[in-house]
Order: sequence, then C-alpha cells, then structure tokens
Amino acid sequence: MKRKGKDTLFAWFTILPALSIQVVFIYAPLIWAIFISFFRWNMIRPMRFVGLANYERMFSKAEFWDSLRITFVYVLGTVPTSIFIGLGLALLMNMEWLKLKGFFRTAFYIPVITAMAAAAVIWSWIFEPSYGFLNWFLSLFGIEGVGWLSDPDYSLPALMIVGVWKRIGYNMVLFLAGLQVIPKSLYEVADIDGASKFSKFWNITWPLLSPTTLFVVILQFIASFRVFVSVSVMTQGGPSKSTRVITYYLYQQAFENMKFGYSSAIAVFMFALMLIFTILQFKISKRRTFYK
Amino acid sequence: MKKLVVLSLFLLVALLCIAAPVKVSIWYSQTGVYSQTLLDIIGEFNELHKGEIEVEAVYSGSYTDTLTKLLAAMVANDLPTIAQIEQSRIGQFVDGDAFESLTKFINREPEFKAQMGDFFEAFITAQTYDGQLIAFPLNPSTPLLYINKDLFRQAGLDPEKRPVTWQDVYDVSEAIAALGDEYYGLRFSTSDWILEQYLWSFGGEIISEDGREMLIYSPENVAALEFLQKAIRDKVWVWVASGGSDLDLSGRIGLTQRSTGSIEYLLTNATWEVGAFEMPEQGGAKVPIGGANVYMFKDKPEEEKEAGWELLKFLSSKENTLRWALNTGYMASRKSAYNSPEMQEELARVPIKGVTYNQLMNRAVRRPWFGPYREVLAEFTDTFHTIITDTDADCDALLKRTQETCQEILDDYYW
Amino acid sequence: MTKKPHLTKRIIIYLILVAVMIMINLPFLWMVVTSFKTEKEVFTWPIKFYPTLFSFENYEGAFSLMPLTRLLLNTLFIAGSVTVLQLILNSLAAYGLSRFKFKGRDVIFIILIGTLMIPREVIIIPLYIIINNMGLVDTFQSQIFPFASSAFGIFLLRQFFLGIPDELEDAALMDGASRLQIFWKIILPLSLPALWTTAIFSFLASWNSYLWPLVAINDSNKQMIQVGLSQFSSDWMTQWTWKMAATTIAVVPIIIFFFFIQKQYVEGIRGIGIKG
Repeated sequence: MKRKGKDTLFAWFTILPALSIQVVFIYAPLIWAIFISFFRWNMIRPMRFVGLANYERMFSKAEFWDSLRITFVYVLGTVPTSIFIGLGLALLMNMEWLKLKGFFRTAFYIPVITAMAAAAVIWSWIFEPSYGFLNWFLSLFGIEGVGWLSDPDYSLPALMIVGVWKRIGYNMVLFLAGLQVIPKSLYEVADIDGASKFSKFWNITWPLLSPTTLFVVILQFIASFRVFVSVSVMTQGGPSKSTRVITYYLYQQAFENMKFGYSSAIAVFMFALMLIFTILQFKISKRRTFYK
Repeated sequence: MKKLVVLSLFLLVALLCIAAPVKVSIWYSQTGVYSQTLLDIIGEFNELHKGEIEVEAVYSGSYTDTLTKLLAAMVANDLPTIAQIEQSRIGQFVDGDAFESLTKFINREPEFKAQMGDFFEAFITAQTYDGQLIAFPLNPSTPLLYINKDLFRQAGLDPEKRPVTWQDVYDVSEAIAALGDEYYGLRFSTSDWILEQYLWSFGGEIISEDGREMLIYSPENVAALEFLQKAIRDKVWVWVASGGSDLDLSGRIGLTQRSTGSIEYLLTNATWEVGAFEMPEQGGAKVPIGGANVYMFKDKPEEEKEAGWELLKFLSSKENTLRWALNTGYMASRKSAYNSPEMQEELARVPIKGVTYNQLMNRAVRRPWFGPYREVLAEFTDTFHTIITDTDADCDALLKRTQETCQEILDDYYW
Repeated sequence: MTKKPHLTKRIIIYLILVAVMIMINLPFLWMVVTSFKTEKEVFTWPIKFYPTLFSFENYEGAFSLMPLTRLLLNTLFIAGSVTVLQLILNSLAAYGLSRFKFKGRDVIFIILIGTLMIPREVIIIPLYIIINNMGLVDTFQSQIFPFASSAFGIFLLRQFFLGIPDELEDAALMDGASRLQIFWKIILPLSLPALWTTAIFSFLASWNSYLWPLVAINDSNKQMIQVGLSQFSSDWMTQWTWKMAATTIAVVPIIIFFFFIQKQYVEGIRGIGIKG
C-alpha cells in the first residue's frame, strides 16, 4: 500500500535524528566499554587480553553481590515511597478549590531543581549526629538520634531519605499531568451514582492513571538504580561499605583503582540487567494498563 | 636575487615559528583563596615570558576528579604539560613511566643543581623514584594536632602543654568530654594520611618498602585499633563520616587532626583560640608528607617540556615558595624561604605555623605511593570504620582479614 | 462543579501542604539563610536558623572568586540549546514510535530506552575519545551534541502521544494533510504540557551536569556552573557562606523560571479542553 510505504518512510525520518545521536554518543561508547571488558587495563600500561576473566572475577566476588544487594534495598526503599508521596501530593494538589497551586507546585519542585551535589552537602549537615538538624528535631519529640551517615545501619536509610526527597516533586508533577487528563465527566457520573471517595479513586483514578504510574515506576526504578551523586558526596560508599551501591562500586574500580577493564564488565552487566528488568516491567504491565 | 627572496621568506617563517609562544598547560586542584595565589604566580610568569611561553591554568576538580580528568586525557592522548597530583595517587603513573624526569633538566643547569640543597631534603627524597626526581612540591604539608585552647582552659588543662602520647591525648580528651554531653576530646579523622600517621605512631608499619608485601597485621597495629576503639566506646573521642571540618568549627571539639594547610582556614573561621602541636608518638615517630606535587608528563613535545621546566623552576623559586607559604599556610619548600626575614616574622606572629617545619625536619617521610595502594588504603580505612562503628568488634581478627585481602590486592596488581 | 468541602477540611489540607512544603524545602531554606551569615556562625551550637549578616557580602565574595556571571551565561546557553534540540528530536522520534507500525519499531524503542541504563561514569572515557576525535574538546558543542536527544524525553512524549485519539489524525488525513503537518499543527499543540515537562527535565539535566563538563572543558571561561560551584570546597574544607551564596544564585533563577513556566503549563492544559 502506497500510504503504508510512505508512512514507514516518514516514521524512519522522524526517528533517525534521535537515533543517530544515541548511537554515536551512547552506544558507541558502550560498545567500546564492552570491548574493554575483555581486557585488563589501567589506562597507563598497555592492555592485556583476559577473555572472560573480568566477568568471572565479578561474579565470584562477595563485594560485587553486596553492592547489588545494597542497590536493590535502596531501590525498594525509594521507589514505592517517592511514588506514594508524589501521588498523594498530586491528589491533594488536584483539588479544584485549591488556591495558590502555582506557588505550591513550584515549592515542591525546588528539591528537583537543586543540583544533587549541592543538596547532598546540605543533607550531610542535616544528618550530622551531634549537631545536625535531624537529631535535634527528633530530640524535641524525645526520640534519641542515631549516627545516620556515621552508622552502617542507618547510612543507607539516610541516603534513601535523600533519594525520596529529591524525587517527590518530580513524581508529583507527572502524576498531576496524568490526573489532569482524566475527564471530569467520569467523576460527575460517579457522583451522581453516589460513589464514595475511595471507590472513585479505585475505579476511575487508579486505572486511568496507570499509563502514568507505569511510566513513573520505570523511571524511578532506573533513576534509583543509578544513584551515584548522593553516595559520592555523603558517604563515599561507607561507612564499612554499607552504602556502596553498584554505580559507586563501578566508579571506584574505574577511577580509584584504575581497573578499567573490570569496571567495564560491571557496566555491561548493569546495562544487561536494567534492560531485562525494563522489558519485564513493560510486558507485565502491558496487560494491566488501559490506554483509552 | 631569487636566493635572497627565498632566504628572507625562510627567515620570516622561522621568525614566526620562534615568535609564537610555546603553550604550556597546568592542571590544579586548588580551590578558594588558595587558587588565587597560584593563578597570581602563573600570571606573573606569563608576563615575564611574554611572547615566549604562555601558561594556561585549568581547574581540574578535587584530587579524585583530577584523576578522572587525567585518565580521560591520557587515553585520548591529550594530556596537559603539568598536573598537580596528590601524593598517594601517582603509583600507577610511575609504574607506567608517565612522568618526565626532572633530574635530566637539573643536571644540565649547574647553577640550579647547586641550589638543590636549598630544598628541604625530605621533599626531594619523597619525590625521587629510581634515582630520578619527578616532581617539585606545590602544597606540601604535614598533619598537625590542633587544639581548642578555650576548651582546654575550660577543662582545667594547660593549653601550652603538648600531649605527647596517645594516652596523653586520651587523658586530655577525657577532661574535655566531661564538660558536657555535646563535647568531645579528639575528633578522630579517618582521612588516609591521618590513619597512616596513627598506625606509624604506635610503631606499626603498613606496607613494605618495595610495595609488594603487606605489613599491616602486627601487634602494634592491633594495639592501635583497640586503643581507638576504647576511646570511641568511652565517648571521649568522636568520629563522623562527613562534616568533620564543620564539627571542628562548632567549638565542641577539643582536638582535631588536620593538615597544616588548615591553619589559615581555622584562624579565620574559628570562634575559639587555635593551638597546634606535633602529632602524637607512642613507639613510632614517622609523620607523612601530604599535599600534592606538580608533575610533568613525558609524552609531550620537547619544546613544551623545556617551557614547562621554566614554569616549574619559577613555581619553586625562593620568592614564590615563600609567597605561597605566607598566603596559604602550606609549607615553603626551600630552607632559604623558611629562613627569610618575612617568614621568620610570620612564624613569630603565628607560632603554630612553625610546628610543621619541626616535624618536616625531624620526622617527615614519604607516604606509600604504590600502584595498588589506593585500593589497599580503601580496605583498611573500612576496617577502621568497622571498629569505630562497632566498638565490640574483634580488632585482631579484622586486621588479620584485612592483611589477607590487601595482600591479595597487591599480588593481583603485580601480574 | 463539585461541592466545596467543609472549611475545616480545607484548612487541614492547606496545613498539610504547607507543612510538607516547609519540610521538603528545609535544605533550600538553610542554604539561603547561610548565604546571609558569617562563616563563623554557620556551625554554632545551638543552631541558628536566622540570618545574621544583612548584606550581600557573601555574594560579592562568591563573584570575586570566579566569573560566576560568565559561568551562568555559559550554562544558560548550553542548557537552552540542549532543551531546544531535545524538544525537536525527542518529539519527532516519539511521534514516529507512537503512531506508526513498522518492522523493527519495538526493537528501536528498546534500543532507545536502553541508553537510560548505561552508567554515566563508564561512558565518560570513550565519549571523551570520540569528542576529541571530532575536535570538539573544550567547546560548547561537546556539552550539547551528545545530549541533543534523550531516551527519557522520547519515552515521556511517546506516552503522551499514545493518549491522543487516532480519530483526530484520521480526520486530518482525509482532509489531505501531510503527516508532518499533522505533527506540527495537531499533535504538538495538544501535547503542550508534556512538552513543557520534558523541556524542564532537559534543561535541568544540562544545568546540573558536573562530571562531563569537568572532563571535557578546560577553559575556565567556557566552564559550566556546577563545576564552578565545586571550587568553593576542597578535599577538606568548604567556604560555606560563599558556596551557599553561589548555589543560591545558581538555583533561584531556575525556580523563578519554573514558576512562570508552570503557569503556562496549566493554561496549556486548560486550553485543551475535555479530551474524550
């Protein structure tokens, strides 16, 4: 069919610019990294081919699995929380009678706008055990403060708090956009039928919001998995490796130990893992989302 | 006639080539007001050598970020002429023969060679590898034991009396911590070189001279760890993962282990009276030379290296090292600068600035510099963190495991 | 128009929002307050939550240390260019991926999404080699071209495009409009909120970048703002008051910008009317 052919051509035309950029500036480096992952290389001395040794080493080291575990804990702690809070805020903000929406929306978005590097430095102060804000605040309620960033048991939760804090506004804005396109008429009909608040949420809002929700979940998952700046500024993977997430482990191997081959292997693994996860998430939710 | 034209053309081209200034690039990690002094010195150099040499100074981030930037440049064959690199991070570069030998240049200039004795020996020894000098110090320092004189007095202690052993430090810390819940004696730092000094001061060693063997599991080091653990457990010493510097300023810390480079910063920003002593010793006296040096890369055009050498000489001249030391509180690298009237006047005005020189002349040694060292360092820093955060942990067992892990790292590196 | 809930309920909700707003902005507030303190008062005990310096001393100090204006302008230019390029390239690609069925479409989509999962740190070195080979080291282009499109933006826009009914397009096609015209005149205007959202994300990502500009740019006059801000700290100390002043300068314009943008965004949504 002539139309189909013309359409396909057009489709390719639309995709090509973006695709070329990604291929040249992201995939080419990735392929280079994959290549390097089969060598031992510290960037100064000549490379030495080692086949799968880097991968073998990676899978056999406890420290690698530890950093994966820490990353997963982090993701599980931050993704649902930030989505839950973001959605809650969006629901409140979506109320028609609410004034000063612009003001609130901007205010909630400030953490998103502030560079993590700067914010992390301030959060270090907040978490400081003996004179930081958080422990002082807790003491007002008679709760004894903890060591936060200086305590291996609380350092990861501290980072989770920062991670959630950073993304709440982001999620809220996305959910707001999703909420805004749900036709008001549906709610009006439900009201006429005398539906409860909860029922309206569960039967109208939640299902129609599902494309947005799916989107937000995937996004947050990827972003949390890649957490780096807060770790780098606040804990450097410590204390005692308690916050050594996979990206930080990779960074250390590459730029502190100068083991570029090994760190490339880690990167390849990360990429493969995330790809699988996203495809899975996509497939699972394809069954559960409504598009029209 | 034709010959004349050709000749003049040739001369013109040659003149143009000579006339174009040689470009030198130097990467530095200095920040804040410290960078200003460096940039001023470089500005002067450019004025002096106008038309011949043009130096471009590039801020390359923290010591770790500098490494990232350098490695990227190295792979792309785009290195600067000179870079400021922190002492303990040069191992892999040295192993890869990346630095130019400065001895080569020195030997060519008898006048300069004669002055080499003017530099403090410790600095020169610290930067000599395989008989070749590969760097001049830029911001050398030693750690100092700073004290909050006000808190000392409040606790009934004599702020002029130096705590010599770690036991002394414990005792004064106890008195200060007794002042209240939010007060502590020593804020223990797990900064890399501070840990080195700590272990050395108990008479322990870390790594062998040739960098191939770990020596970290020893009775002295176990004792050091247990001592630290006890002090933390007794809440007499404190450790924080970040914001330590700010904690110092808050006036609730009696003692802190920091670089000489901190002097200006503390004098300007502390609301309390600042004192400083040499680092404690309890069986061992070695003190690490810290800071960073300026290294020149080998794989650059000869012309550029010649110009770079001129810059290096200028940076380490008596006038400039004096100026640097006066402005920043880091050490002057030359004895003549140290002995100059301006410096002596400054030392009389601010006596604590002299402490580091005593350490330099009597106790300072090169830090471990080997290729795999940073990785080893990360391992035993973690061990310290573990025994600090879990004050019941078994120091002996942990240190033994650290020794094994680190030895593996070493063996793995030297393939 | 739904009934307005009871006054008490409304007050409670406002209170909740205000409380959350203050809590969430604590770091920001502390940042601004610190920029109006002297260095000695930053870490006193007990904590001082109020400014003590009623002058712009710290701001002057921050500007004296480095060419902040220059850095801000550089970053504005770079982030602006990235945003414009991304809007064009992302929306085009999202359109192609959402409206048409063709062989390999899903594979392409996965490939594009795949880039989201590649850790930045690992790309830095090979990317530097590529940029170096293109002769673009130490240029603005090095900060713009690699980011001319973003998988995230494509993902977001595709999501929104999928929600636009086919009927609108079919009608236009029957009227003889070309695909490009449909894209320009129908799809884009309908997606204004999504476009504004992706614009903000693109801008922010570029504005907040640190490691890549540090590695790829040498000339201090071409550098970006986050790298500049890092110069207020060293490995062992921070010039807090100046740093907070500089950070405030780096953040406040964007907040103001966002405040105005999101008003447009709201109007954009209203302008769409009821979508069926």
